[in-house]
Amino acid sequence: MSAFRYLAQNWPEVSAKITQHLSIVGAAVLVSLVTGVVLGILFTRPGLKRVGQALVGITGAAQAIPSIAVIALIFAYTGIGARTAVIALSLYGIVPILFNVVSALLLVPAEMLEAGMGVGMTPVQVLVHVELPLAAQSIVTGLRTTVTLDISTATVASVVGAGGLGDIIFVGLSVVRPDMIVAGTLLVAGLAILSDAGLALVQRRVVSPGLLHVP
Amino acid sequence: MIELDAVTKRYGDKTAVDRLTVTIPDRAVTILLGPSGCGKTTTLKMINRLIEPTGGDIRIDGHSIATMDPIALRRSIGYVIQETGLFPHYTVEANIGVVPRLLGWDSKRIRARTDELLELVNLKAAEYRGRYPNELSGGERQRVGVARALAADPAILLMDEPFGAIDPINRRSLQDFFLRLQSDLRRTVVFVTHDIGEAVKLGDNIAIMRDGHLVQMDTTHELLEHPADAFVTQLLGATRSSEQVLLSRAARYVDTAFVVMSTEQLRGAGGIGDAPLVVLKDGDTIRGYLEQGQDIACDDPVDAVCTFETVSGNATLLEVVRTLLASGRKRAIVVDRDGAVLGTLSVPMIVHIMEGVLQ
Repeated sequence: MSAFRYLAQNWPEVSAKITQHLSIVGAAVLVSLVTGVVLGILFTRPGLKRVGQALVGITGAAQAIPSIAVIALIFAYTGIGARTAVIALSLYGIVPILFNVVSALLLVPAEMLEAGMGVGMTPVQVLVHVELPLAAQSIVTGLRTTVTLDISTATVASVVGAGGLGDIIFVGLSVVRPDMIVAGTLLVAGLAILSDAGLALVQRRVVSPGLLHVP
Repeated sequence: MIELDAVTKRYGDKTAVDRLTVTIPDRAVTILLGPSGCGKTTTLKMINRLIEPTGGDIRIDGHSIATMDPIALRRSIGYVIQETGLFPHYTVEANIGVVPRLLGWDSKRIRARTDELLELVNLKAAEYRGRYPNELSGGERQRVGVARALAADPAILLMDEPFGAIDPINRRSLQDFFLRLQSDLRRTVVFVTHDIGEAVKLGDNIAIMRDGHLVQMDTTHELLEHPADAFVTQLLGATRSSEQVLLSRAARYVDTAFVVMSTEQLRGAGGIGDAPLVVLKDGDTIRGYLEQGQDIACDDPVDAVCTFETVSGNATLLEVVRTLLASGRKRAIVVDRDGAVLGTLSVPMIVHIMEGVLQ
């Protein structure tokens, strides 16, 4: 396979692109996760539940916005560079996390909240000890979607000079080198699969066995 | 003592509880009974301030709860709800230890207390401690729920239809379990139910509510003997006195013509002699009974004992009939809280009691 030959011959350069790619994705995921979870918690508090319910409807539709459009829009304000990619991916990646956090927290049964209050938990303790553990499965699922989405979308960010694995594919495109295109694509797909598998393990750790269905 | 003083709860135009004044005595079980929507659950939740009253005052031992920190108040009161109340993501041990953890006990003390409580509710600690609620039966979940409420040794227990979601047979055994537990622990219990049979069986006192008002509050015996009005009579499930008698406690009508013998005594006597009925009991274990006129063909009279159902003296006659019909057995042996035999009951006897009331 010529794609593998390309990778072997250019490894130092390729590994630098992988690091770049993962840095962009890592930074964006972190921002999306923190923002998504904080907003998700905020919009499911008593009094703001209406906002949360509305949000679940809107975020579904928001996923229809093409990623390239978001990148182009941010580019218009922040110009060339990795910063543009991180901001665009952060915004784009909030959607699945926010959607999952809000819908999972809204689904926590009222009796569970009352049981928490009834044994003498403060509202913060109810959130930490009851609501978040019950929503954990869904929150990590949202995180997995965002990570996969960001890894593939970061490729497109190469067009605004952010670097990353997209560079290999776009260079391959301009000089008509199918081996480079295939190599870049394989790396992106590989990263997505590996990180998703890693998060699946995390999910098994953070979700209580008591919440899994007993056959 | 819990005093409710003209307690009112309004939601907009709707009045859920209307100037309710009740005194709930210490160390007894007080039932809040009434049809759904009568305000009984709202009343219960106002006692631990899950719901804040619109007017009136609630005092515990003379102190108004409105001046207490609601979080501290709730940690000092045991709260049992239907089986959904256990946290599914917590093990049995974590569920029972939830209030002690909130109170900052160290883990050693929590573990010791959890084990102690599991034994108290008849669950083997080593076996159940690490299980999750979805690995338990409905009855086991409810026992864990009671253990959780007792964890920090509260003087007051609030129970909101705790056995409502359980099938009739398990509900009966949970009620018996609760009676035994309460006879040891003697807590101040406020118990919400819409099941009149459960109310009579478990309650020392019953407060009947309707449309947010108190209709009648009395000892269970007084209430059954002297219902205040037609609503109470109707709620008691009977418009005819023959049906109402079915709500009496079994202890009141048991056939007391019996002798208790041990296996040794029975063998020594070679039969039951002229006793009308012999209950065979070795130590705390009831083995069965033998009746006068029963054919004892075998060499050892112990082989001829009849199988039976055990019921609590607090159980209603209706429950005794249901139990006997369900099991197909002829007689129920009625026992008190300590397991001592009070007497026996059979379906024909209960029919006879009803006929006696009719005449």
